[in-house]
Amino acid sequence: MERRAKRKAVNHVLVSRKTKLLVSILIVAIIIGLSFIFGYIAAELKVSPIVNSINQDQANLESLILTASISSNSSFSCPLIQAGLGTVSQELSNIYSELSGAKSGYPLPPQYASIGIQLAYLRLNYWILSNKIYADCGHSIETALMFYPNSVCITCGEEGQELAVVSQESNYTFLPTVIETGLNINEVYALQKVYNITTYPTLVIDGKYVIKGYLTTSQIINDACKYLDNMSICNS
Amino acid sequence: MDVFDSVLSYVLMSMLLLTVIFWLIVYFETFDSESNKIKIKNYPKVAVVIPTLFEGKFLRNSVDSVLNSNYPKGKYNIYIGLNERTDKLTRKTAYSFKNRNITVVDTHLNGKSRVMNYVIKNKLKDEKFILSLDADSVIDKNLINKLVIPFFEKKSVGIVAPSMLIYKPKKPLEMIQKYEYLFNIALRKGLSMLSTLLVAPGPGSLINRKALEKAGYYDENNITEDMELTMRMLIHGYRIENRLDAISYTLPPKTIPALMKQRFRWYSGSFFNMIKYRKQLVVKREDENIDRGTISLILISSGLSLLALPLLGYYIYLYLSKLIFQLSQVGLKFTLSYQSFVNFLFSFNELSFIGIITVIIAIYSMFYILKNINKKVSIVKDGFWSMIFILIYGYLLAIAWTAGFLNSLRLINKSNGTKS
Repeated sequence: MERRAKRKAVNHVLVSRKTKLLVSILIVAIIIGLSFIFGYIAAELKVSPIVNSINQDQANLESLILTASISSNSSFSCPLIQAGLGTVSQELSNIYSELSGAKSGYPLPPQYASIGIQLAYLRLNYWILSNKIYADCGHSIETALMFYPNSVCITCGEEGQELAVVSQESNYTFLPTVIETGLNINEVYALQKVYNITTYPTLVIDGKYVIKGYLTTSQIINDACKYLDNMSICNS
Repeated sequence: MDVFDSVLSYVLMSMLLLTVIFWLIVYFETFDSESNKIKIKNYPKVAVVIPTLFEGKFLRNSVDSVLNSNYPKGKYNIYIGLNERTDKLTRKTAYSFKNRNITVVDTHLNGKSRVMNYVIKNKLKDEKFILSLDADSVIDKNLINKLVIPFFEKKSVGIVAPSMLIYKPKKPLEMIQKYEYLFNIALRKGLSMLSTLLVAPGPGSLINRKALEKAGYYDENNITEDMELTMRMLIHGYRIENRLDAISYTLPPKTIPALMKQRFRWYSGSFFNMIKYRKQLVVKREDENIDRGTISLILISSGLSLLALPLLGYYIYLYLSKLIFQLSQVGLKFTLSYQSFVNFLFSFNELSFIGIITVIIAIYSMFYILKNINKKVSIVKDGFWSMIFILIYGYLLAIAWTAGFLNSLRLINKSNGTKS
């Protein structure tokens, strides 16, 4: 009798534990399911502000292109356009940070693929305009284009940050752009071929000089100053 | 690596959430599980055994707390066991009670468990239960009355453990330990509900004398004899129960080295006993009061927790190396701008939701435990000390935990060497 009672008590504990565990698993499953739904909704909510920023930047860039085509190579327009390029550079950097954060979740709404492509085109246009200003305004600015892959590249992220810092320290006379490869954009393929991009990160200064591999901040400054030594960062 | 990191994050977060919810459900039941309906007409006789060493005048507080107990007079006897190393002041304090029907036993033996065994085997009268009490601990006046209840409620109860609290905490280190003890009370109760309580602490546990005799008394060579006895009782088929409303108080270590020394001994003993009894605890036998599934989980998680310290070191190394790399390349760029806030909002994803929900449930559980044990909660004070306990103190204990494990391996080797 005692043996049976003992067994019954043991079974009661086991059943009770299993029930608690099952209820807990069910609650966790519900919470995770809801979190994915919330995450997806949050990702959708982020689409519109990013697209708006891209459109705003596109408009700013177009007005700069217009200004450059009307009155390029003038002592009045060059500083104006350079200042505009500096602002767009900052905004591009902000959009990139926002997009990277927004893309960290799963699952992502389908709009994100087209946002990545839109941003890539914006960066290309920016690079083309800055190269034009570089040519038109007597080499008072310098451009840099960094290629990074769509897979993990820790040094690319690091070099991207360094470029932003050098740009800021040069008072936006050094204008870097970064471009992601593997986005199925013909223009990017063409550039990869032209500059023979095989490793990442690769930096192209002033559309001419190709430097492969990771560069430290001082190496970036050295390379930038090699081709334009009147920038404020070259003095120190 | 990205996919691996993501999967690892989801798995870890889900497991953490599962653990938090599971324990909250256990606690919902735990705090309502104790009944006081049983009216005991004939209280059993209890022997209060107090082994001594260097407790000095504090022994008086321990004995007085028993003498002031609500347990019927004449139903308990007090035995003070003197160790051969017990100092003069403690001896003097012990002998000062001689006129008050307290038996002082000079065992001329060294070691707490030897003293306990000597007193139990040679001096006890017809007491059915033994209350083990350290000489640096005191008991609440209702402790014995509450501890006897489970012996009348359930069959084959071997030991009933009390809720142990810190005696008058004042200094920060004592306050942190206060919260550690509070959370341990809840954990101990939860584990006893799941039939997996592996330690009934020395200060204030009530032991069934027959069960103790059957199990074979205290192991005289074990550094955590209370845990060893608890495990042996479980293996012998006895239940280990816990009463939340039976409270004992103990003096905490007052310095960090003393605390680390105490924890080193506890954790060495814990791992030693877990390794020693691993087979008996995990292998299934009929009609036992052990939930082997949970025991296996406890053993596995104890083993896995040893990875915590090396992992923490690894992450600190990764973080610092990245920080040093950034500082050397980009310099110190601390920007707390509007854009930083925007970037933070944009990086909010489903893992953030899971994290926030987990933290909310964990904080709720924490206050739920404190409210049920302390009966009142101060969100600021309790929140502050609980956070200090959880966020800082744990790392300190992890060092003692890891060192204790390594020492337990040495002890196992030593004990195997002695056997052969």
